[in-house]
This record gives sequence, C-alpha cells and structure tokens, in this order.
Amino acid sequence: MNPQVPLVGSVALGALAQISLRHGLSKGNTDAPRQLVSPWVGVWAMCFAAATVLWLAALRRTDISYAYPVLGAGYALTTLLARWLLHEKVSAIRWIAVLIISAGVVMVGVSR
Amino acid sequence: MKVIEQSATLATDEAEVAPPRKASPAEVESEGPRVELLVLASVALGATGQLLLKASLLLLSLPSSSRVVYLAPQWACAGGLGLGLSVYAIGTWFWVRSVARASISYLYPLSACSYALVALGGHLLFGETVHAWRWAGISVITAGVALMAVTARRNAS
Repeated sequence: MNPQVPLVGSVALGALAQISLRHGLSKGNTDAPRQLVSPWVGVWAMCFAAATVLWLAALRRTDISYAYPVLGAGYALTTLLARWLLHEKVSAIRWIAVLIISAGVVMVGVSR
Repeated sequence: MKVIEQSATLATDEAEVAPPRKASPAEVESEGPRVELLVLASVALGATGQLLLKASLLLLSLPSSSRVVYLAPQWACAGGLGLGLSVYAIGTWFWVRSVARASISYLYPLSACSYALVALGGHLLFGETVHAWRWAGISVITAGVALMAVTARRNAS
C-alpha cells in the first residue's frame, strides 16, 4: 500500500479527534459533571486510536523524516475544521500560519 | 504522535482562559526546574519515542529467521512499540507540566523543533536520505507552527 494513504488518514482522523473533543467539552454542550461521558468524547477516543494505528502503518512504509513532518498538516486541518464545524474565529495571522505550514508540508511531500 | 501533543495543547488552551494564568514568560513561576528544561525534556522524549516506534517497525523488515535479543522480530517489535509509546507518553506529561507554568505562545516555538530533531534522528540512526528540499520543508513547518503559537494567547483572551 502507498504510505500516503494511512498518513493522510492519520492526519484526518487526528484532526477529527481534536474537533470532537473540543465539541464534547465545550461549555453549554453538556452538563458539567457529565462532560467526560459525552458521546463526542467517545468519538475522540475512537478517532484518536484509529489515527495512532494508521500512523504506525504509515511509519512502517516510509521514512520517519518524511512522515513525521507531514503530521504538521494536522494543525492546518484542525484550524479549517474548527472554523467550518465549530464556527471558531480564526485571525488573519493564524490563516497565514496555516498557509505556511501547508507550504512546508507540500515541500516535504514532494521531497520523497 | 503529534496528535497526542495536540490534545495536550487543546487542554492547555482551556487552561489559558482561566483568570490566574501567567501570561508572559517573564512571569514564569520560579519553583522547580526551569520551564525551558521541562520543554526540552518533553521534546527530547517525544522525539525518542517516535524514533523507538520507527526502530521497532524496522525489526519487522528483518529476515524471519533472525532473532533480536532471543526474541522473534514480531515480539521484539511489540515490546519496542510499547516502550516507544510509553516514552512518548512521559514526554507528553512533561509538556503538560510545562504549559501549566508558562504561556503556550512562549513554549510552542521551542517544542516545534521536534520536527528537526526527529528528521535528524531518522538521518543519523536509520540512514534516511534527507534532501535539502525536505530540510527546507521541515524549517517552514516549524516556522508555521511557531507563528500559530504566537496567535494562541491573543485568541484565548
């Protein structure tokens, strides 16, 4: 299998895990004492575990000096999803950071 | 995994909203080891954990007849993966300890050097070829992550 498949899967599920956790723990979404049993926290745990397994699958198939920097794309994707799904405010400077990270990931991506 | 570190980051974003937070590096609490040492320990442990994972997975590529410390490669790999994940978890604990003491916008640029550290380890330990283009990409990602951290405090307040 192409190493990019589990790598992209790991980044995507890792970002979804963060969004689920944030959604599950955010104020007003659940009662405070029950926050940790919110179903979204369960979604976080499952995405997180799957992302870890996919990461190991990717790491087995390619160089760590290639795969590890690509995980940085998770910051960019999490920011996009936070804006899109959670309607968080994202400042201009943070969008610039997202662009810079994405450019770096593309550079590492083509270096293989 | 970076994902673990991100979850720690998310938790600290929460902490940053709390009123008694120390906001600037100058206000770092003085007791215990210097917070920079804690971050460096977390980065070193995180990178070591990742490299242990890679080393363990490389064992699976060995010929099936070979033994690693009397163990079949599959068992040695499983043990190595457990060790790597444990070392990574300890690194994450150091990270959580340090963000409890200084602002994340001060610490993140320090932690972003984990990309360079892991790539250096891949090159020196496993003989991976890291071309100039890849080093450049790693530097750009590091700069981007550092820039994102600079915006963290502003967004939290």
